[in-house]
Amino acid sequence: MKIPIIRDVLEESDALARQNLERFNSEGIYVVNMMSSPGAGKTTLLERTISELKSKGLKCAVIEGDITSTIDSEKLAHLNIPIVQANTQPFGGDCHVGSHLVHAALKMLPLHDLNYIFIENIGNLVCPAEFYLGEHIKIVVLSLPEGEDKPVKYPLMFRECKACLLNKMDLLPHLDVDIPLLNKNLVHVNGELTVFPVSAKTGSGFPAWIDWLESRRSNVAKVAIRELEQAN
Amino acid sequence: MRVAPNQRVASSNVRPEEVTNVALRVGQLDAVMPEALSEMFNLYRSNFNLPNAQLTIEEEAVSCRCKDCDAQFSLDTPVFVCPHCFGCRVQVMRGRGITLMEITISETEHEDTYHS
Ligand SMILES: Nc1nc2c(ncn2[C@@H]2O[C@H](COP(=O)(O)OP(=O)(O)O)[C@@H](O)[C@H]2O)c(=O)[nH]1
Ligand SMILES: [Mg+2]
Ligand SMILES: [Zn+2]
Repeated sequence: MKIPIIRDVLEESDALARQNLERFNSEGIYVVNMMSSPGAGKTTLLERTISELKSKGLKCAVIEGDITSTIDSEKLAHLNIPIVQANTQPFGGDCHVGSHLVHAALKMLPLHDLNYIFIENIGNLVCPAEFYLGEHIKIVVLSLPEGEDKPVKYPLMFRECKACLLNKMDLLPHLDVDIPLLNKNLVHVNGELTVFPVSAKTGSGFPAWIDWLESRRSNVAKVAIRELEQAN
Repeated sequence: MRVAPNQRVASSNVRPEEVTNVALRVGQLDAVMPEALSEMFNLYRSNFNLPNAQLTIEEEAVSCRCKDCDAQFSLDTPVFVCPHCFGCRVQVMRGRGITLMEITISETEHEDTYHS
C-alpha cells in the first residue's frame, strides 16, 4: 500500500527560519547571510562593511558560523560589536549554518538595539545555499583567484543570492582571470544578480556596495512601517 | 539530513517495520547525489527506525520560465538563458528542493495487524 505524503524534507528547518524572520522584522533588523568558499574574504569584507556602517551610526552584530575556533570573532573584536560564535566544534564539522543555530544565537544578541545582523556562513559554495535561515538577503563572495568557472560549477549558490561581491579586485594585475568570461558566467547562471567588484583590502568598490545594502535595508523598513500603519 | 517520516507513519497506525519503501524526489539543482544519499540511508537505516525500508530517489529535471517572454523550457546545463528571446531573467519552476513523496507499507503485515 502506498501512502502519499508530499512534504518538503526541510519544512522544519524552514519553519524555524520563518520564526527568525518574524523576530528580525518585529525588531527592525536587516539580516544578511554571507556565503563563499573558504578564504574568499568574508571576514575581511565584514570588517570593512561594518566599520563603514558604524561610521554612519548604524548598529551591527555578527553571527559567526565559520568553522573552528574563534579566529574570525577575534579578527572582528576591535569593532566592539556583539558577536556570537555559532560553531564551537574545535576541528570543524558542520558544512553550513542552520536556522536552529541562528535561532539560538538570537538569544545572545541585543535585538532591540541593532540595525543589521551579518551571518558569516561556513566556507563552502555547496551546502549553505540549500538552507534558508530567515535572512532578508543572501550574498555570495567570489574572489578573483578562485577562477571564472565557479558560478557555473555552483549554480544553486549563485542563483539563491541577490548580490555577488567580486572580491580581491586589487589582485587583478597579478592574475590571469578573464573578467569578461567571469561576467558572462555570472549572467548565464543568474541574470538578476547584482555584482559589486570590490577589494576588502583597499576599500575599492565599497561606496556602491554600502549604498545598495542601505537601500535594501530601508526598503524592508518601509514595508514594515506600512504594515504597522495598516494594522493600527 | 533528517529523513523522518516516523511521525506520519505513527499517526496512521503503521508500524515502522512495515515500511518497505520511502520515495524521495530530489531537484537536480540541489547538491544531493542520489547514490550518496542511498548509501547514507543504508548505513543509518536503524537510526531512522525503518529497518525494512528501501529508499528510492527520483531526480527532478530543472525547468524554467522566462520572465520576459513567458516561454517555458528545461535545462541540461546550468545556463539560465531563455532559448527563445535569450533573456537572462529566468525563474526556476521545477528541479529545486527535496520532497518526501510517499511511503510504501507491506500489505500482508498490515492486514495481519488489522485482523488481530
Ligand atoms: N589581496 C587581498 N586579500 C584579501 C582581500 N580580502 C581578503 N583578503 C585576504 O584573504 C584571506 C582570507 O580572508 P578571510 O576574510 O579570512 O576569508 P573568509 O575565509 O572568507 O572569511 C586573508 O588573508 C585576507 O587578508 C582583498 O580584497 N584583497
Ligand atoms: Mg572567515
Ligand atoms: Zn524569453
